[in-house]
Amino acid sequence: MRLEVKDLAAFRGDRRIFAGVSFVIEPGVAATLRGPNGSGKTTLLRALAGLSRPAAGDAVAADASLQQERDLYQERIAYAGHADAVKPAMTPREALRFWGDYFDTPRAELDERVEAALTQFELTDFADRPAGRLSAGQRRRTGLARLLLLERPIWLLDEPFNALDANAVDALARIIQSHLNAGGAALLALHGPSPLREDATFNMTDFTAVAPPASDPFLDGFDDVFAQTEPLP
Amino acid sequence: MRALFLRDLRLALRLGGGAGLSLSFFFIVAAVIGFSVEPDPKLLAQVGPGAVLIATALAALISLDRLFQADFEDGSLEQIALGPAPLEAAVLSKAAAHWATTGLPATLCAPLLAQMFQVPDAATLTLTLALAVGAPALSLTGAVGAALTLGVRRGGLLLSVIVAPMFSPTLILGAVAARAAALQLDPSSALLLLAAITIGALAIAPFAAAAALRINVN
Amino acid sequence: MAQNSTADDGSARPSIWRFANPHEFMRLTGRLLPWITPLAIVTLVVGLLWALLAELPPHPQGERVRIMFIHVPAAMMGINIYAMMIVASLIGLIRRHPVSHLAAKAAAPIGAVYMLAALVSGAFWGAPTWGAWWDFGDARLMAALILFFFYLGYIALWNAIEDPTSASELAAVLCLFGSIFAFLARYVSAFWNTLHQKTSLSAIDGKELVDDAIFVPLMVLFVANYLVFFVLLMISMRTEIRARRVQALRVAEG
Repeated sequence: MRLEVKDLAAFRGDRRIFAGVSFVIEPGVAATLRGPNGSGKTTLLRALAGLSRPAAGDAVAADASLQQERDLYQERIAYAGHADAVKPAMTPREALRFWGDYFDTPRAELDERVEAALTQFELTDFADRPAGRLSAGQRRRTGLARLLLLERPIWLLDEPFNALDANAVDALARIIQSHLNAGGAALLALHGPSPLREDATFNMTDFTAVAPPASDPFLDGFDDVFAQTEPLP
Repeated sequence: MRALFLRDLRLALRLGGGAGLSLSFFFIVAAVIGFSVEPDPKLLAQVGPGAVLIATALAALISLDRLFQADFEDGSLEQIALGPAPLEAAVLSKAAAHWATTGLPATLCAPLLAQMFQVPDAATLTLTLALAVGAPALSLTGAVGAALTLGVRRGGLLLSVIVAPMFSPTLILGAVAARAAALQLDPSSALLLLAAITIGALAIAPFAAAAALRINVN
Repeated sequence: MAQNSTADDGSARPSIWRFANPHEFMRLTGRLLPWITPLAIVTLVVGLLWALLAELPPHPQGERVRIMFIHVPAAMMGINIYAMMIVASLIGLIRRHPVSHLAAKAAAPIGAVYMLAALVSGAFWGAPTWGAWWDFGDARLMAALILFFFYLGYIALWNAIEDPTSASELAAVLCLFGSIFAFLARYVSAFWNTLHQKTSLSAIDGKELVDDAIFVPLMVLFVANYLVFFVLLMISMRTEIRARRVQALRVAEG
């Protein structure tokens, strides 16, 4: 499935982050998002996931628009952020069963899909151990295994290889590759080298540089305010 | 929505700070009120309903600050917001789970506590009924407070200051109903008003809380 | 952040929303304040002196009845300011006008002080008259206290959230949702009274108000308090806008 981003802009409070973000990710392509810390990679991914309302612009997944058909758009997107969304008191199997259930996976398929996701992410050995007693990398894999349950065509991944050992990096790269081979698309925010073929790379600095100044009602048209020295009685 | 309700219930039963601890807190508060007044049976019977109501409200209050905060910190709230169900429904499930682990056990144990305070049987029955119809409103309005203070570091105290005034109509009506029953008057109008507050909160609170969550998650 | 579509072409499109723009607001209030401020002070002084010195008709409470001149306007302002905050919050949420949010924010401490003044003056009035500083059985007292708590919660929420945009929207949600319970508290506490057989503390209703000697200075004080509130609100909002502007300038400079 194709993801098209059109002229997207975001502000955080009074501060502009980026503007004029436009690119297309074709099916089968894993695009990489690069840029220094604080350049808005996470903000862009969250906006594309539909978590925050962009200040301007739109994103279109296949034919569903983020601004107009938000629900339909979101049904095509899976997002994995910095945090794993795994409760310390729940085991990986329970966590996956819950998320599968919450995201309306058909009951009949739930068990099967959970087991398949556990196997693919090599989690079966500790699938029944509370996540609080797992390593950071194991929790990370549990969080990422959610992607396989949802069966959504476009993956937005924020630093997915963080905390993963070499083995797990390879496994995740294989999983992303098979997702691409099946016609999916992915956008990865990355710092380090990518274990995947970098089909397309977008640099956040291109988008922050062209960002026009924010329209701030407390900033505009105010030139005379501090010149006003009318005495307050 | 059932999934989220069951998950919260399971987490509450499994973790410290869950339902068991909340119920113990409920008993401790009521007992401390009992210790701190003169052990005169007539006085105790008068204080009893109030003690049970305060204990219920406090038991609901102390577990509120984790209602959304825990999910916010570990990224679950983002995923909940991205799920197919509207955020309002998620708020409702979480408030229902909160009620099931605080308000419901308190309601079930209220007759026992009322007996310890030697509250007359009629008043005990009315008080329990009042909690049954009124306690859900505590979890619902509390969810709004929890959603509003989500982004605040150490927001527990702020949450209490915001939520306690919203609890007051429910607490006042609960006390009115119990006193009416003790005086052998008809408590039904107070009970109906309590139910009205709960139904009103059911209709409005999920929207207010979801609006606050959206502002905070954004 | 809302767009300021009517920044400088306000005169071309005469609309009340023009003043929702910080710049327009500063200009208008900058012109109004030098006139309204002295008016408010004069009205307040006249009203208070009148209330203090006027010859009152014989009254069972004697001179104590003069507390009313503080108590009644304060209570009225405390309630009306909350109502104003509800309107301002609604406008802020629906039309996304930052100045509207600021109006609600600036009004809250003023309303809280009025409410506190009403509670304290009420206690000083009640103590000699009914022998009690406070009565949990009285619906008005309960409702006033709960409203005071709402003010405190509202102010605390504003102060606790760093990002001004989220703070304004969250505080508006609290104001609107809380208002339902503030009104509920009023009627629910009235319910309490039906069981609580005790003299009502409500002394100001009834025939006293009919007497002009009380009615006229009370009306002057009503007007004076509205003017004082307006002046304080404007000064406070202007301060707030300047603070926000300093913040915006800092951000713009990086």
